[in-house]
Amino acid sequence: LPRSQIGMGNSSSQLPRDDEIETIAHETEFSRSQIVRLHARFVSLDKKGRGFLERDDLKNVPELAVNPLGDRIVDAFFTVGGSYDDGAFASVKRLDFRQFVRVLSFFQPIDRSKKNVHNRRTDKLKFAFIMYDLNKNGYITREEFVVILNSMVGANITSDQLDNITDRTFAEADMAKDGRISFEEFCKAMEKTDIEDKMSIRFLH
Amino acid sequence: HLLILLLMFDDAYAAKAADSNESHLVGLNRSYAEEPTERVHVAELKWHSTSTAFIIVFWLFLACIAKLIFNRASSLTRIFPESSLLIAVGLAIGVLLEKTQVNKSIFTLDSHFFFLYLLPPIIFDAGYFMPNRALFKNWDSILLFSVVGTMFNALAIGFSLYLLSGVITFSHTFNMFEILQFSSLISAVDPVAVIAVFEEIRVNDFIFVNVFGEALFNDGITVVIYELFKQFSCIEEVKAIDFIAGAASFFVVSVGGLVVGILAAFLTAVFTKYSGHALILGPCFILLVPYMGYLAAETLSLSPIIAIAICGMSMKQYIKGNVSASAATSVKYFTKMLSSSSETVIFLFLGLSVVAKSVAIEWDLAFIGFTILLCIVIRTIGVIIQCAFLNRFRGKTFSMVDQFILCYGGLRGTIAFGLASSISSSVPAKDMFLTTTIAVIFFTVFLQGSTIRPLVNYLNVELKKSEEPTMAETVYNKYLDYIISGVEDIAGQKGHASLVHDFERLNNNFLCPILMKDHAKTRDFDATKIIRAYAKHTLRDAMSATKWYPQHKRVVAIQ
Repeated sequence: LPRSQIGMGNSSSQLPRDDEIETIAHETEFSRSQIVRLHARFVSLDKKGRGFLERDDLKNVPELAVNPLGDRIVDAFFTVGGSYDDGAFASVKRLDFRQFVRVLSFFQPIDRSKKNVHNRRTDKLKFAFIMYDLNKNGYITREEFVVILNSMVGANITSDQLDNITDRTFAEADMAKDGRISFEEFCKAMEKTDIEDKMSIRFLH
Repeated sequence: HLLILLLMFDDAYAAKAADSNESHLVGLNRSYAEEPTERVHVAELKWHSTSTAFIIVFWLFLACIAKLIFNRASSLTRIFPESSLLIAVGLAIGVLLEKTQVNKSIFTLDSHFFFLYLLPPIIFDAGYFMPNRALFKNWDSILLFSVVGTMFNALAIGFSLYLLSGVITFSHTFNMFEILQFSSLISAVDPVAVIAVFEEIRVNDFIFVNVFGEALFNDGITVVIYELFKQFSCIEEVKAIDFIAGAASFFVVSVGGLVVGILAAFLTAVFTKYSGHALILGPCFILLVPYMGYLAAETLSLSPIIAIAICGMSMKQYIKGNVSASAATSVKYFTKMLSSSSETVIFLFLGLSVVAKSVAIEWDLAFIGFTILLCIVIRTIGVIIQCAFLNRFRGKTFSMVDQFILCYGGLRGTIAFGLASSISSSVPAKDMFLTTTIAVIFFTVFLQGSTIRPLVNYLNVELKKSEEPTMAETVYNKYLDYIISGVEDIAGQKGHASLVHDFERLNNNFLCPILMKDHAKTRDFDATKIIRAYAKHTLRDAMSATKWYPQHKRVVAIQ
């Protein structure tokens, strides 16, 4: 079944059914209480009570409005949320609860005692990479980089400085010297950063 | 520094001089009045007019020579931390002076002098160069360790020693409050010792900030409970109100110190903002105002250490925008120089004071032994319990290795010595406490200090990243910050990243325009970090392209 059809009952204000919680818990390694809490959040975002979220629902989160990358984050949510198991991405228009939790599961702290630590790190980096890669071709081009850099700092620096910083970053990160950064090159540039710590959110129980 | 040293030594010297009532100036004139004017003198020996200044400068010179030798004799410094070597030199000199019967008052470390002049530069330097990000990320563990941990240590060690004194006869008796006074000063981890040792081994920021943060902020509680028990031993009958007053005192002291520190930072930033054209003024303010904050806090019996550390931490980013790069560099150099020489003098005098104090006093080996044992055991228990508690709520957990370094890095230092010296003489066990304090300090600095480096290597503890982050890393790190902040907002959970983001917006919109000059009030975020990183990289590239690179390497490194 396409993912959009596996969902809640019609009224999203009810708690999800126990077997659905079980499925989600199994899939994402969230605990029961965490899932219940996230469902409450989902409901509060879903102001029209339709049982799914659209882009505008997320964009209306007030703190996101002042986040320079707010739009990109929302976009990434809807891309990663609509992903299939084989890792291919497709942008969807609606996000149901299961997909919502699935995206958030990427940000769980990594439990080093469990296996698949490397997968987790790569997953987190993948989310970050997707946001950069606007046209989803698997590479960050110079133009895409400038766009993101501009939204982060653009108002404060001149366009010359913008170009210089971009040049420098590409000189460092673009190993293949093909004018674009692949996912592997991105990971390599971040290898000294403690991604597990930086990109983890401690979800409340 | 020098002026007060001069006055202090002058007293000592004048007491020693035969004509003890003569003042310094009279001494000067005397050389002219006394000599029979038979012949014209070609030149004469004016030792007594320059002696005090000479002695001071000579000590500093000796300290520098000692450091020079240590730098050369790398085989020694690989084993022993520099602090322990300095203590050893102090000991040696002390023995020498002792043998030549020089007046002891010249070379004892006056606790007053220590707290007012030697300690502030070190703490300020530490606060200014503190990795703020790591500190805020670990505020929960640092708070727990410094408050609850220190209290636990103080009470547990105190009660244990009290119980032991019923079983074993120590050379002096003490009541409950006296031993609690002692245990409160002996349980405090010392920031100076931690800096001295950890700076050499350069562990990663996470461990450093936890150990050092604890050492810094436990001043609030250490001094409070020390004073509390000191006052308790004077009061006839201790009532519940006294305990409540004690608890209130803790809050007032700590939070008051924090407030004073922030105020001092605020003032420094504002003054440097408006000191535009007179280039010397900026650095002067940067050095004077925090020190005034320290003294103000001390005057109001708030925590001066917390005040000056917080001041250094808060004002960093505003200062950078207000003074020129060369002024910032000179401030950096000057604070490092001051703190380094203070540190050196402290350890040297610690060695000297041991000789000065200990010759007449016997050392109670049993008491010392039990104190050291209790310090180690109780700290270990405390760390394990606290980390187990913290690990349930934190993302970044404390591994076994981390916890070990936390236990092992609990070094005691001169603050304990200063407090021990100021125990009132009416306490019969004072000398025993003092010598035990010295013994514990020696034990931690020599034994733990010298073995921590091989242990760090053996346990593969992650070391501090020595290179600057690359341009790509700087940009991406900021980028990831925003992502996490956004995801936290979507998930409705106020985590670390979104709090940092909130502060950043507040900072940029309100604080920076007030505290920094030429700060264009643009959108909600601040690009200076990325721009500065870019400037650093291009400068380094340009330098390395010239043939004078080796000389300039140091310049680039400082900037």
